[in-house]
This record gives sequence, C-alpha cells and structure tokens, in this order.
Amino acid sequence: MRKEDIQTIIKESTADYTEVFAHHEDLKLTRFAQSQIHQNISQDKKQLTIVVYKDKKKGSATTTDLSYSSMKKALEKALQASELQEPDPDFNDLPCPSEKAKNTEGFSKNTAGCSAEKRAEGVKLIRKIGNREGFDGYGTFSTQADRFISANSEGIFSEWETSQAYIKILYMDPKTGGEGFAQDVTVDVDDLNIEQVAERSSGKCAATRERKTLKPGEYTVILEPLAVCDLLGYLGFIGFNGLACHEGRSYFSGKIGEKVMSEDITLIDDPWDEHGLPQPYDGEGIRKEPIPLVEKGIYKHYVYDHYLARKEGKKTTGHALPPDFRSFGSMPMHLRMEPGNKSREELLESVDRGVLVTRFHYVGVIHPQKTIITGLTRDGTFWIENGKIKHALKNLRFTQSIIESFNRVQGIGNWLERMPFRLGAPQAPALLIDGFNITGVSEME
Amino acid sequence: MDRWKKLLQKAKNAGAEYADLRYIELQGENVRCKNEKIEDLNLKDERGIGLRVWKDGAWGFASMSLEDKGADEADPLVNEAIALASAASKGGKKGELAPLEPAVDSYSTPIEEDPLDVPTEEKIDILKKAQKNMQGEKIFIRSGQIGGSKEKKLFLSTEGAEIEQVFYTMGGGISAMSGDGKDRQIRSYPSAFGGNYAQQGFEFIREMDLPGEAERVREEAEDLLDAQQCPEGEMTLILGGPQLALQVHESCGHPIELDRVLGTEAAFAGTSFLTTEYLNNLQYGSEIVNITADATISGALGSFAYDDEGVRGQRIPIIENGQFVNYLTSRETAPVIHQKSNGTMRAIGWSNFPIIRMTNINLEPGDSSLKALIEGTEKGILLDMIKSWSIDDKRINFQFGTEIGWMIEDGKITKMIKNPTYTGSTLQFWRSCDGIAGRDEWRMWGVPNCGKGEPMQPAPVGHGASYARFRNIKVGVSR
Repeated sequence: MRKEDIQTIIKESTADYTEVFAHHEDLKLTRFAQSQIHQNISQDKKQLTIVVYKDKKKGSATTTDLSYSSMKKALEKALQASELQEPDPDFNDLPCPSEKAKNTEGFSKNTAGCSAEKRAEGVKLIRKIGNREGFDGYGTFSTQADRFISANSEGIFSEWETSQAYIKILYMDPKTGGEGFAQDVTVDVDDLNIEQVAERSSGKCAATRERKTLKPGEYTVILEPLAVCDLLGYLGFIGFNGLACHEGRSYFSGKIGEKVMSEDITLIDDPWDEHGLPQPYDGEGIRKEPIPLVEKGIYKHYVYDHYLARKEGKKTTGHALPPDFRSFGSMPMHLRMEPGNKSREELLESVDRGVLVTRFHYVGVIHPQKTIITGLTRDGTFWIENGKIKHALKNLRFTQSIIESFNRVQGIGNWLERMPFRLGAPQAPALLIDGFNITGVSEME
Repeated sequence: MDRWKKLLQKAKNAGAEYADLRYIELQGENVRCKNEKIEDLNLKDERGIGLRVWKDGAWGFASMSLEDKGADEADPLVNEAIALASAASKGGKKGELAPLEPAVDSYSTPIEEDPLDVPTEEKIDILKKAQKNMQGEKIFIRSGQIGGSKEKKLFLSTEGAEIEQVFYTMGGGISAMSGDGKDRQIRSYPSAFGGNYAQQGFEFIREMDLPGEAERVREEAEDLLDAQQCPEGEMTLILGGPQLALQVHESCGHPIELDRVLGTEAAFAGTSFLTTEYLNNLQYGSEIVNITADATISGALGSFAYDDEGVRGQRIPIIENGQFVNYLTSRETAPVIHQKSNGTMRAIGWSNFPIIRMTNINLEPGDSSLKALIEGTEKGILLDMIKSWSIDDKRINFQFGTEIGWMIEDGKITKMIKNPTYTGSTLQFWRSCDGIAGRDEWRMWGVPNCGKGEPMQPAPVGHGASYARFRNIKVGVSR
C-alpha cells in the first residue's frame, strides 16, 4: 500500500474526478469454546477501491492486489464502467481538503503487535476463573490494526491508523444452563482488563442458575448499557442515517428542532472520544468532529457525506462511509448517550416490579419509520421486585419502538459501556424505562 | 500448483501434522440502480490464499491477499499458522479429525451464459426497464440490482487432495417502496433484500423477467398502503416459497449445525436447542415434514462438488417423516457423534477459516397444492416475502414479518393485509404443519448472506420450498 503509487494513479486518471480508498486490515482472532481455543486465525487483507467521475458518469473498481500494475488495471476498469453510465445530475464534485484532523490517538502498537501467546494467556485466565464455579468459557479475544488511505483528485490525501482489542466472555454453567456475559473493547490491548470482564460474566452466570418464565406484557425494564448500545446501533442505521432522512425513510425526517425523546437524553456522535474507538477521518478523508444529534431530547442535526450534502446545499459533516458501503447512507459510528446520575443500585431501587436486561440478541427491524424492532434478551435476564433482583428469567422476546422507549426514560445510569460496531463503538449508560413491550418467552415447548 | 504444494511441504517441515490451503481468484460485477439511475457499477478482482494447519490437536490459520511478489510471497503464512496452532493447542483438550480419502478432481458450475461475458449495458437495460415499469404516483423509491461472479478455487492438502472448482454465481431483483404521507410499504421480486441468487449463468436473470414482473410489484406496493392491518390472534398460516425458505433457514438450517450445537458459536450467533441426545430421538415436525441437506442440486446457490476440507458434497436426510435424523458435520465435529464428515465445511473467500455452513436445506415437496391449502382453510392468512426476522440464541422462539399477506376466509382469499407478523416456537410450529404443496410449486431460493462466524462470513446457501400450511399460529404481533 504505497502512498506514491496511489498519488500516481490519481494523477494518471483521465477522469474529471478520481477517488481512491485503500484499507489494510491485520486481524488476529482467537475464538474459544468450553474454555478451549477452537479457532486461531490471522488475516492480512488489503483492498483498494477506485471511483471515477467523467462527465458526471460514475464507475468504480475494487482490487485486493495493491501493486501499481494492478491498481492501474483497476483504474482502467473503473473508467470503462463509467463509460456505460449516464450522467448523474446530482453529482457536483468531490470534496476538497479539510482542516488537518485531530490526533485522536486511536492506534496502539501494543495491539498491532499482540502475539498469539498473549491471547492464549488471556483464554487461560478465563478458563481459570470459570473453573472456580465449574463454568465453561465461550467467546472471542481479537486484536486488529487497520491502516487507511483516502485520497482524491481535489487534493485530499488522508492517511491514518487505528487499532482495537476486543474481549467477550460468555460463561455457561453445564449443570444448570445458566449464562452470563460481559465484554470490552479498547484501543490498546494492555488496557483490556480481562480478569474484570471475566468476573462480571461469571457473576451473571452464577445468578442465572434458576430461570423462571414471565408472561408477555408491558413491564418496567432496566436496560444495561450493552442493550442500549444495541439500540443506538440500530437507531444510527435506520434513524440518524442521512440518506434515510433525506429520502423520508427515517423517523427523524423533517424533525430538526423537534422534541423526539426524553429531555434527559443527550446523544453526541463523538469520533474523538478515546473510549469509543476514535477515528480522525471519514470514508472520504474528511476530518471528523463531534456533533450533537439530540440535545436534551431535541433533534439537532442531520449527518451528511459530501454527495448528499451538496445535493441538499449543505456541507459534509464527515460521516461518509468507505466507497463500497456508501449506498447505505451516511452514518454516525461514534454515538454516545450521555450518562445520568444513578448508580446501578439506585436504578434497581426505583423498580417495584420489572425486568433487568443484560443484552439483546438478533434484533430485527419491523417498521423503520416508527423505529419498531423485535429481538430477544440473552445471557442474563432478571426479575426485579421491591428494588432487588429476585431471580433470573428465561430469555424474553420484545417488540418495541426505540423512540417510544427513549421517551419513557425514568432514570439514567452514571456509567458508560461500549460495544464495537463497524468503524466505531457506541457508548451508552443503563436506562430505566417505564413500559417496555415483552411479546414472548423462549421456551422449548 | 507446484508453488502451493511447496508451501504445504514447508508447513509440514515446520511441524504441521496436517495442512490444507485454498488459493482463490474471484472476479465480480455488481450493478445497482435506483429510480432509473445507476447508483453503483463496481467491478471486483480478488486474489488470495488461506493456509490451515493441524498441530497437536489444534488448528492454526493464516491468510493474505496476494500481489505477485514472487514465489515465496506466501511463505510467512507458514510460521504464522504454526504459531497460532501451537498457542491453541496449549488448552489441554485435543481434537481429532475424521478420516478422509483424498480426492483429485475438478468441477465447474454448469452455465449457459458466463455472467461476466454478458455486456454490462444489457444488465443496466434490464434494471432500467424494470424501474420504468415500477413508476407510480405513490412510488418514491424504485431499486434493483444484478450481480454476478466467478470464483476459481484450488484446494490442496498434505493428504494428497487436489481439487479445482469454479463457481459461477448470479442473482438480482427489484423492489418498489410506496408512500402516501401516512404510511410506507415495500414490495420486492423475486425475493427481498437484493433478490434471488443461484449458481447459474445469466440465463437465471433472463428467466426472472424483472421488467415483466415490475408492474405487479408496483401495484402491490401501492395497494398495500390502503390494505387493512394484519389481524391479531391465533389462526391458520400459509407461507409462500421465499418466506418458507427463510423459515427453514432460521428454524431448521441453523439448529442442525453441529459446531453450533457444540458451542463454537455460543458467544456470537448462539447455540442450538438440538443437543446430541436428540439425534434419532426427536419428533421435530409433523409426519409430512421431510427436510434434506443437499449440496448436489445443479444450479442451487448452496451446491458444490467438494467442501473446504475436500469432502464430497452430499444429499443427506435431516428430518424424515418428522423425525430428526442428521446434523451438518465436519471432519473435526463428526467424530463427536461417531460419524464421518458429511461435507458442509465452507469458508467465505480466501481469508476465512472454514466452518460448518448450510448447503441447500430443503423442505421436500408434499402432495398438496396452494389451491388445496387455501380451500382447506376456514380462517387464516397467506404470507410471503421476508421483511424482518429474529430468532433466539437457541433457535426456539422466532418472530418474522413479511412484506405482504392475504386474508383467507371460508377457503378463499378475500383481501390484502399489511404489516403482517407471526411468532412461534420451532418444534410447535413444525409439528403444526398439516399441508405442503407438491413438486409443481416447489423451487429453489438462494440466500447470499447467511450470517455466521467471527469474523462474520456471509455465506451463499439455498433452500427448496413450495407452500406449506401451519395451524394455530400467533399472528399480528407488533406495536
């Protein structure tokens, strides 16, 4: 992935506008089941996409061979593809260089150089902690280093590196079927506290040995941060997505300045947050900056890539995806819901009768405009009575509007957790929600 | 090929007891069109290699994209894979591999027209014509895509396997999104989320007749705006082919993956309720339910001659007369149930580690027909085309939403309904099946993006289905 070759390719292009996006991904991933490693892999992947516009006609080509000769072939293919197109009247130009990005410190050499031995040591520790209670450990320990170049014929040449170290641990009790889950993601692998994650997961597993059933109905719930992160990920895709807003497919279409959720909720897309897998540039090489999306319940901003922004007579907000994914829209990848002032105990004490959810599983979108989704709880669902956890529950199905639930928030936790999601990591506190629709129970027969 | 044989020898010299590799070249073309404007026209070119080694009862796997940097370009994979296997083997428990007679063979998808030889202009023309035919007052997004690829895969193993396979994949579809200021609806053809896919040539797209079906798609998308909401309650449910394919996929295909049963997907996609004591010991469905896993169907998306361990593709019964009789297995998992692999290990591209994947998981035809199923229904709904899907981590409780539905009253279709959903429990659902349409209405549906594995490996799989009827199903669950 030579910078000079990419610069040369852009210079040699006969198109009016040329864009190159190159990605080198170095992933090491260790998966374990029954506390044993069953999959230990290394992936060294390179990919480059060239997009050209000639007389407003677009073509693109992708290659995994980043030698100059192969890039040149890809350029020729992209030019050939553009010849087959008709002019796009909505295309104006490609973006010009923005201010140099903030050094977001999203890369760690420790993560990039993490050895298979070190990951195996992590699994050994997980096995040891699980053995204490007779639990089997399942999960993933991965380290990833990425290098990106986003360049275009208007002078953008943005180059940056990121890394992430991810651990997730599901303990299962082979005797009772109990399950507990915890995870964390950091830029630097040395900041991952595997022992702490394992202890949290083990604690949950121990508490789920006996699980009772619950009748469907509307319940007060406490959604722990991972469950809220999941909701934020979906809201980013179906709601805050700039293209969905533009096309009227989003709940937020035409609602700037309106109250859309509880005034206790503030949501920021913050690519600079060191805890949220920071990114300095977007997929078009534009400097990323924090942007408030919801302030005290009021919807504040659309997010744009350059193409959509020009179409609407606006300026890009630095939310372009890489070219291969751009048709999905422009999306916030670093959503952070600001924490509240309630400890976990205080949230529990606020509930007379209700449900505590550790995380969700297999969420599906039923109605994008109404943000209605369905999914299940897993790895630690509990019944709360008189402010205390009384017993564990079998996994539950919910069918619920995200927006409606964010309008029924009665309390917000004072801590944040994060979950990796594509090029970033949403961060969320726990939420106490008054009225959450449980529509089924997962039972064998 | 000599270059890669030498690489395997180097792996052996470095301590591998067994090693295999996949060298892959892939070319693809994808055209995406929206409102008669070509949104994306992308040509793809990939080349890479994945090396898997077995040492001390554990796997190590390393892969890289290739750039023609000389004969020894991929040599670093050897030490990388060995180091990964060594680290994995220190856990204590050692695996074993089921025996395999190595194959020396070649295979190519039988096609009439190479997807990459058909002029791009022709693909664009089909999409534009279809989108023109979807124009309507209440239609605000008309979209469609056609994609094709050719993948050349070489599999070599230290046991002596030498298998060359060429896979052609072709697919596409259209959809219309309607709106009237109060509601939004969508209709797709021939299937939702990108259309239908198969291992066929461009003849597959011609047979779809996208322009010919577009007007009906537009009409149904507009009619849905004024349709009644799906009723709530328990009633008889008839599923059409594309929806039945997804039902089979989620509530039969995934639970029978033996790696999943053994826990290797537990922290991600989940496990399975179908633990090994149920093998040959569970009434999964009613007596008319017969499900097969068949990698040998010509043209189907989940077909192949050999899997990514070099095991021959097979047709195996999964559910016979309602009884559960087989899992999908691999060389490492099959010994757990005292069997040989039935050949379902696949990796997506060169970069991934093979895992158990569905082949073509089919609900075999019954002896009824759609007409007879409807006539035998006093009160029920006919649903089709997936719109939303969700199932729990053990594959028991599911809830699906479809694009469209029709009320059935006194044996007749009476009106269209919108926003249909249904929910149930896997075993109860399949045991309630009391009618399946026959071979005449049976066809293959390709799902190009079955999700499993970390990193995620979206796999092409197939499902054969006609129509089927289920009794006492809870429908209309939404807010």
